Amino acid sequence: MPGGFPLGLEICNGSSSLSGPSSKGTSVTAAAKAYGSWVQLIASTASDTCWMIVRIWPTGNSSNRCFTQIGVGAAASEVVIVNDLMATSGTAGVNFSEYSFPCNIPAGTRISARCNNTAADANNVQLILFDGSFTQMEGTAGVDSLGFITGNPSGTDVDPGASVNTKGSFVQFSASTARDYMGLMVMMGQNTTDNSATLAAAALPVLLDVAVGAGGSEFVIVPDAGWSVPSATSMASALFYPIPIPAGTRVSARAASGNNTASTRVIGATLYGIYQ
Amino acid sequence: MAIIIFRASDGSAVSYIPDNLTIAQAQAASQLADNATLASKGFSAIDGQPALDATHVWDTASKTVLTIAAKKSVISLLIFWQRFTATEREAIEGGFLTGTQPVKNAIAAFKTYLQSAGVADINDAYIQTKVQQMETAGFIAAGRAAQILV
Repeated sequence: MPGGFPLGLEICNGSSSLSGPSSKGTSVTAAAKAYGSWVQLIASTASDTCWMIVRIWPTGNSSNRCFTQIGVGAAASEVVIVNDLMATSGTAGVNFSEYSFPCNIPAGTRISARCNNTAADANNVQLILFDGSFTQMEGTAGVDSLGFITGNPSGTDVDPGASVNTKGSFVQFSASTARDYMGLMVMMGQNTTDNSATLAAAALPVLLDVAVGAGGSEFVIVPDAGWSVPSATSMASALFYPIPIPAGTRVSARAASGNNTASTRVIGATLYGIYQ
Repeated sequence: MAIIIFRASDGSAVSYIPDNLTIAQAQAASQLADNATLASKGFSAIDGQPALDATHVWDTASKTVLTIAAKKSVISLLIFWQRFTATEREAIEGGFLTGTQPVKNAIAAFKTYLQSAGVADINDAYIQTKVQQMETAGFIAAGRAAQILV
């Protein structure tokens, strides 16, 4: 409600992992259909982190689906705190996907990344970190992915259906969430069988509803999350929705698209639950 | 197996549970609304269905999941042309430049069609027909059309 209880967002001390304005981040070599080796992004964070922006630039061709994990800890002892961030490659090395979310990491922490792509190539990964000011809310511990399929790798296919600009049927992303989430993010991209060239021909954008509740009783909590097809210079940004979802919740999504061609309309989506 | 929830009136799918559960099990686990709630919304549910994927789609008429042929790929123009060898591409180009007028017309129209689409949808009957004709005309060897049109 307007004028309600303070949300508790106040960040400061922004720092970037980029070496310079022309850099796209640290090159992280991806294995094909499995996570590759960890690559250090930051040897030791200069200050506490309360907010993180992750930017992922795939360098492979447009047929690749790209996923990135962020981990903390010493080499060979990395612990995953951010799972399976999806990036869509439209034009290789030009498009990027971006995530912005609360994430708490103490000063002096080593942060690294590893990638899992359709093909063995590389992603450039950049971090922008912020400390929290006086009224910043209580900490968050990490990010779970919902709907990520490891072996493909891909998100979950969502078919907008045969009717143009009409929401299709809900697709389950989680039968029962493993933890309480204090917020979520949504990312859309390539589906499990086609590639971004498919989507480029299809004159999207796509609107996605995220819902909670049992099949047949879904209640939309995020209406019309939007995504437009990757072009030569486009980017995809996952908005942070501070909507709590308790553990044990069924989460699903449905989509609408301006394209109803069976071979090109299906999109892939991954949802992310931020937990404390 | 999976559960599909659909509108009883027209069979259109409303929701999908990919887990191998019966309706009773899903309802007991709160993954599926109870029968009274489904009925109040005009919905029905069917279990024991194949999971929805590239070769399994929901059919509104029969209100079941049907098996379909796998879709062929939809690829960028570069990847499409890379499926031809350099020799084949040059042979096609030669046909465009020096062939009979009908051959020139066919190749030019094919290239214009692809360029307009921006991608090569191998499910497109026109693309399939033209690549087959390239094989018949000898621009690509016997059997190559099947290798390209995947």
